[in-house]
Amino acid sequence: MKSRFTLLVAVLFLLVCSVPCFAGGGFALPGVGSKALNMGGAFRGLADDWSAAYWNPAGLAYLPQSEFTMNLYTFNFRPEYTPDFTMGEGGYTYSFGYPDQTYYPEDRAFFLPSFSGFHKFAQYEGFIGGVAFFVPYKLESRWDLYKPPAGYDNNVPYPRFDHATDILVWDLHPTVAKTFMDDKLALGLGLNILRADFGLRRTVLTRTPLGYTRPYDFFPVDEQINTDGWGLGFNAGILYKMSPKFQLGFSYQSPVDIDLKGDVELEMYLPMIPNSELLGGTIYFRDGDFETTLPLPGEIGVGVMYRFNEKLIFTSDISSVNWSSLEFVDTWDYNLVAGQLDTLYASVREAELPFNWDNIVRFSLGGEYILRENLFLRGGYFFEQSPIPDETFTLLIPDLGDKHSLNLGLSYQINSLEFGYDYQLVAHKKREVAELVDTNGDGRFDNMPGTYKMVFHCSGLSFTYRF
Amino acid sequence: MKRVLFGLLLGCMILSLFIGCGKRDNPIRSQHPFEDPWRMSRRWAALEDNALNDPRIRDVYVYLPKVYDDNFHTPGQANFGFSVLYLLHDLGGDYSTFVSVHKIGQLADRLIEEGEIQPMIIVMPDASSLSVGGGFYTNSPLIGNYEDYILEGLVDSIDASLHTYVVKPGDVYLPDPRYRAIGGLGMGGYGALRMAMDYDTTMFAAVSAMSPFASLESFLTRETIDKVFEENGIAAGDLSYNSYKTLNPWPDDAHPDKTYSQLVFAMAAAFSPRSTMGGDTTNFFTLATEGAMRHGVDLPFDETRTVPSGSEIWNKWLQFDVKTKLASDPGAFTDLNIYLDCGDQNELGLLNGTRALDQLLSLYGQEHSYTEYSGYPNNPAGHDNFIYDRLEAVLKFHSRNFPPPAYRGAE
Repeated sequence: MKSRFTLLVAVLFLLVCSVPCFAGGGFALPGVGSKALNMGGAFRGLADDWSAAYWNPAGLAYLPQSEFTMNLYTFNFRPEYTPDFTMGEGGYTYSFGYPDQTYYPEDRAFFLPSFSGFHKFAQYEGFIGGVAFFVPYKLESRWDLYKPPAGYDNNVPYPRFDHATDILVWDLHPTVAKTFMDDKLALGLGLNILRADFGLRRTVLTRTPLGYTRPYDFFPVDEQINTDGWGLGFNAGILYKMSPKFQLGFSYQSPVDIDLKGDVELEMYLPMIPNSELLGGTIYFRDGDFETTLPLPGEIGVGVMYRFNEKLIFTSDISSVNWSSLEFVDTWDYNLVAGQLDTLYASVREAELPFNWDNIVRFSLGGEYILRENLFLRGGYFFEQSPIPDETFTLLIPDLGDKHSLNLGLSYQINSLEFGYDYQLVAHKKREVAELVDTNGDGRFDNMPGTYKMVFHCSGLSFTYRF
Repeated sequence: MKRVLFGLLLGCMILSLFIGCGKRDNPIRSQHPFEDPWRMSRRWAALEDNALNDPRIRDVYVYLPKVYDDNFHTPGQANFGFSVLYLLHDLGGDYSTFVSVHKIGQLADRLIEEGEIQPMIIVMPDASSLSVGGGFYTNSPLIGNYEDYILEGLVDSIDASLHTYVVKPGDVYLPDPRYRAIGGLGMGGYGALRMAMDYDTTMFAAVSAMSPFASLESFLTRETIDKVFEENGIAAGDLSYNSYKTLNPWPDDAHPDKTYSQLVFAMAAAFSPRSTMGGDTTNFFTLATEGAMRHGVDLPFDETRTVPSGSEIWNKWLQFDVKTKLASDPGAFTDLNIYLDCGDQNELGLLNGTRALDQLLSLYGQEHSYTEYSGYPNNPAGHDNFIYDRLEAVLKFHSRNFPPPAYRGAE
């Protein structure tokens, strides 16, 4: 009794953190649920815990009991970026205030909550319903990267963290599921109630009129966007027990448009050129309201589970995420007062934020082995592409490229309680973005050339109570 | 035992939450704030009594490296001293252009801090002309003796005021030209080349020229002459003498851009000035009058927009032409270290002249550095688009060609 209490206290003590892994494609997390992540996300064909609400809601119908679950993760994201922010050719390249050394973001640990509760309704055989709360999308980073070129001499120091991302989408997910055909088939349906906070901060190099020589051919604008909004979607799934050894699952997540509203602040840092009426080293500030729509992608996936014997199971999933729906974020309406320098803001104000992302495929493998009664060992692997092309790749969303994940974990049951642990290592392929690109001809560069590397570590604890 | 093992496992799992938590430090980037350089304001004897009454009092900016200590680095210390670069501005600029627009102070501070160049003094005199825009660093009764102003007045003032390298073979302190260099942009590049070749290594050991007027023949083409006429509002087919005689270098509301006109008249003020109370005024343009005396210039081209064959006025110009002088004296640059560059989209047409000088130097076996640089989309390598970047190459060139640092306290 004392040991169980000690264990419970230890877990509760750690219940301050959870994951913003953005080990997933784009700014998506790799998934939710300790068991599912242990198995590399190859869970659609198994889907036998609360996280089925995310992976394949049909699996909830096979939960043996009602249950309440909490998850806690720590994520350590370790990117590095060596800018190559230059233009020119033929051996003559010119830089724009970005260094040519390797830089790191502010190293921080991140925390997020996720929990769920599902209840088996005895009066409705094979029917289960409940709600899960989790975070499918999260990305947060701050970089101290840009400084105006030597000699720019603005009177106000450039902000320390000039490139920052703060994206959080949480999902309140009521879900129901039921079995059919003598428990051989289950169907599930979940509702996504999404709340998004979407913030970006970056430096936009704004072209100045011809006649302004280097280093004044671009003025840096510190652009900060802070928005939030809501969206609705759904997911659905099928789980079919073809035999005691083999299960097949299928799930679909609908795309969701999130209507974002907020504000934008622009600070143009002007150089100091003596005797210039206009260029006195000051800041030209503007702000305005902002509205746009963020299209989150749909996803479709298939998974299988094979029970090798009473102790060992294998799972495999393949899924496709429709990131190509994220082409660009619409233009913004700034309430700007007409002024001399507002012509320079035109390219900032009227521009789109292009994404032009691609659809991606993810392939997962997983396994579970019952080491001893109540002790389960799990492992998994997944391979996933990056949806982001070179022409819109920036460190604001550094999903570098093809990634491989190795996952290990275990869980231990004590009567009605189950404690889980998992560790995930995701290695991204090094990415080199060769040249500055303006994809839509609006006068702004849409990518950040250079060399990117990243590896990250996730560790997590979970606690489930069944009743 | 089970409890111990369980506790260890739990501890490992908790510790694994912090894998990869180590903080990483970013490189430190130094800031180099703008600082006003030392400013010398003096009346220069060489600029006295010029016919157009351009000012005699001129300012000079002097960049001093951060290691320069007034109390420690004094003039006249034999076998000690900083190297000095005399940097000459372009037409339309003045003593402050390299400092205020091209930010040479911060550039030098950064390069010295990074160990890319040795600490050096950079002298930036004012050679602007209120009447014609610039003096082309030439002695002219019309606008002033700019060559003497630089080579005698300024150099002597700097050596007398600052810790520049001197030797003392006897009782007299003498400057050491190995520790002295000259460079410039555009008109300043021309001035640097011409003065360096005229004095060979007795004054300077190295010369740099960014987009210089290296060949007057390459510059004063029909195309350039047409632009002069166009700037003055004269139609393309108008070859009348009366229209020709309306040419002038002064912008007005109707003709705000007189870039080529100012260049041509400034060259004429330097190369073919004249004061007359009569006589042949066929190609003469009055810039000022003093009673019956008319002070002005002769232009080498006429209303046909060509330079007549055998033109005496043109021959006068060629006496000051760098390429012509080199062709007649192939050894003019011997022992000098030479740097040339030009943008590949120079809108003043100086690329051909710089190339011609490069080819001539190569023909004569004169070692030199020549760079044609490119720009990037929406920012072509025009006349002064990339000076901010090229100055880095210029300072490194001069630093390499100076002897090792010899100022007091140098390691």
